[in-house]
Amino acid sequence: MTDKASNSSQGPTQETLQGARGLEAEIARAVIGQERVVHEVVLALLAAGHVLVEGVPGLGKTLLVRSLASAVRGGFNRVQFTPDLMPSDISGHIMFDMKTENFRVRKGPVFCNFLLADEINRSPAKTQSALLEAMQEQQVTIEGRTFPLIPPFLVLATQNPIEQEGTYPLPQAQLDRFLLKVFIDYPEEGDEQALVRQVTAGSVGDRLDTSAIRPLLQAEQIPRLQAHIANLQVDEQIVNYAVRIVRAAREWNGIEAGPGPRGPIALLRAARAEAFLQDRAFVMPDDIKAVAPAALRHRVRLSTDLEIEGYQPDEVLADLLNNIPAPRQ
Amino acid sequence: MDLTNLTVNLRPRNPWEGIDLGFSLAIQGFLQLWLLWMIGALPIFLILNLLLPVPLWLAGLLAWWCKPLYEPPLLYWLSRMVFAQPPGVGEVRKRWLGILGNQLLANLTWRRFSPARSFVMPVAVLEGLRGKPRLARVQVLSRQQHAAGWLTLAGLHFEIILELGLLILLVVLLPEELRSFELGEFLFEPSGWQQGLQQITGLLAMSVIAPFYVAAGFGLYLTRRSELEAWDIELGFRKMAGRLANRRHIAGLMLVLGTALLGFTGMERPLQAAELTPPEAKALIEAVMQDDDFGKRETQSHWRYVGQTEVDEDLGLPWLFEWLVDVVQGFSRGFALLGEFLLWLAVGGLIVYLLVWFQRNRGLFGPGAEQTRRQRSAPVAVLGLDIRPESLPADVAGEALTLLERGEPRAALSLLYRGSLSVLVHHYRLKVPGSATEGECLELAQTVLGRSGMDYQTTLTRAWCRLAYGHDSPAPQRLEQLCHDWKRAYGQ
Repeated sequence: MTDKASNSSQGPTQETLQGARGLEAEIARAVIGQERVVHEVVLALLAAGHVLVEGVPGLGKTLLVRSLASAVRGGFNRVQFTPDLMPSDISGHIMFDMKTENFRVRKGPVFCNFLLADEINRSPAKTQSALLEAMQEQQVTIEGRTFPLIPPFLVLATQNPIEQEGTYPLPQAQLDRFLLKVFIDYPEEGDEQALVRQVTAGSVGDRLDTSAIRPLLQAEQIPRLQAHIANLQVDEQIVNYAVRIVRAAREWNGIEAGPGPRGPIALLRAARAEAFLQDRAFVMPDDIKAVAPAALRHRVRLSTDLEIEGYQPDEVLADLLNNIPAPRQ
Repeated sequence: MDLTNLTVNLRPRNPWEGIDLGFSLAIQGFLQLWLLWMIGALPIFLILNLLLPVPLWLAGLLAWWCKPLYEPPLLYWLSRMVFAQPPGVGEVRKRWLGILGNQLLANLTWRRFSPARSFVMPVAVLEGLRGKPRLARVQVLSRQQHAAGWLTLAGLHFEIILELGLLILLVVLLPEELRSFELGEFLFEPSGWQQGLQQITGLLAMSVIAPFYVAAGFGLYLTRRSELEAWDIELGFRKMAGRLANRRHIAGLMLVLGTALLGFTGMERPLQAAELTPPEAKALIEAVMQDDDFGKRETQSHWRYVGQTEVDEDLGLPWLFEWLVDVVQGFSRGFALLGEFLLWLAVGGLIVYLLVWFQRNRGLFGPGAEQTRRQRSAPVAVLGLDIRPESLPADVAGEALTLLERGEPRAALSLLYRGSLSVLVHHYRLKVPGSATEGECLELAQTVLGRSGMDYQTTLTRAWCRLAYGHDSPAPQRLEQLCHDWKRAYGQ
């Protein structure tokens, strides 16, 4: 179901819109067999949100962010979170320059367009909150001086679901700041074969090759694109539907703590991006349903008995979505 | 051995009931039997495993082989228990060598292979027979007896299951972090300490099964002896004689009994068994068996209420304990009464519920039931749109065109979409859940619609969504086309 989005005079050009819609396919040329993940990361970029990725190491998370950065000509940095990582290691610090006899600001890796925060739960809460503050405020304070971050700014934080020893799990309030939580899993057999062939063909070592990615957009075009998407038509019934889903989740049997008001907001932001990628100028209930698992799975906490029985938030959310009546027109 | 002192009820039993009798005996005296078995087995087990320079697997095999060394004391204790004279464990220990007897070598060599070991053990241990008399007795006892072999086979399996169960339980309870081996490796290729653990669990499994095995063999033996020698009849006569002696009418009864026997056999004078030769006895037995009262076999199975078991209330406890017992019993009786009341209440409630349900759903039964069921299974509204056929005009497309001409494009499109959903649900019997979105309805429609129908439904859904959520009305010509295509798509 497609319907061309209208192009206002102050909005992005038709070429930019086409480029944005082609991002997924372009990134998928390098990141093979992870279509769902690529789709959701592009959604987060278009909705000006951040992504929490959960998956075992070695599934191409760095390659994904690099490919995204290449496709929009954005700056990319990667920070490996460790227990001894300090907030200033991310945000930067002021140092005394002996030559000029002046204090000089040395900006940290957070000053980029795409930041891969690898294994964010390996650092203590102080360091995590420094990054999360930057995500929320889009600015960084170093020794009392505030530096705005240049948009687009997307943080892709990763968590390893297996090794939980010596980690500092993100509290619910901080998880809420991520627009989407994405699961990355092993690719299918055919995809894995294609991936291995591509990585090993004529390359030395196992360096990540993103040279095949064509830049479809300029980083500076992204904020205008995000503004365009934020203005897509959302009917009152759709807002009502998103709110009903979240309110039902708070009372749902098996959910101990439901999403806060950021839940429906995240649903609508992501649904707008989904509608844009589906080449539509308005949001449909299908968009809400499509993004609901990724937008809500990290905002709900299951009851202890369901957790013991091995249920996942996705299963409970699927049950919930199957029982909430669709919007009435 | 005075049969009148028997504590078990002797009656004709089949071999399986005999085994069951043995199990009851084993449960009754399990602790003493287990202790007696361990007193015999544990020293030998320790000597084999700790002192002798033999591999652990061989030590285990030898400990298992020496079972005839540990079992006779159990049989001795059981034989005294059934006559209400159970000896103490110490007393059995003192008589240990005497109980084992001088047939030990035979028991540990060729008789070890006998599948009826526990069944024939009483012949040597209790009757003290050896040589040919023993053999003759065993032959008589074993005639048509297969249960003893099954008992040994089942006991062996239970022993293995118990041992494996214990081992697997230990492994499962071990935290993952401490477990440095695989279960298969632990069971089939055990290392030194693992072999030791297997020996211990093996000993425990044997010690648990042995009392049941010996007692079941003894139960079988009692049943067989009772069957062969009519112990139950003898006991019956003895009880009758005792009762009549108390009434000082024994002589008269014996007279009556003798007369009765004469009457049954048709003989003129009572015969003594010792005076008869085997052919004479056979002829006499056949004559008796021809009588109506003896010459038929009849089996009756029915439940019979035997009344509540009399419980001796006077437990001989101090008053405080008796009071506590009364209080606890009072509570349990009260709870039982309450439970019974609640049960009846639930039954009554269920009956009322069924009656009410039947009253409300009478339409589902009898004539016209099929139509009612169909009406009930179809949803009334999908996506908030009323899709009942009666809520729609007979000519949906025509009515939509009229609405369009009146300048109401939204109403026209809404009617077309409602009509299409109604056709899908009522004509094609498509199950559309209340949570289904427009896109999901379209996916569901793929399962029932043909290509042209699907094309039309896709166009219609797209136009409807654009109007409903995008507030963008399609061009009138396009709407008109949708109205014209309606009949072609749905044939209505």
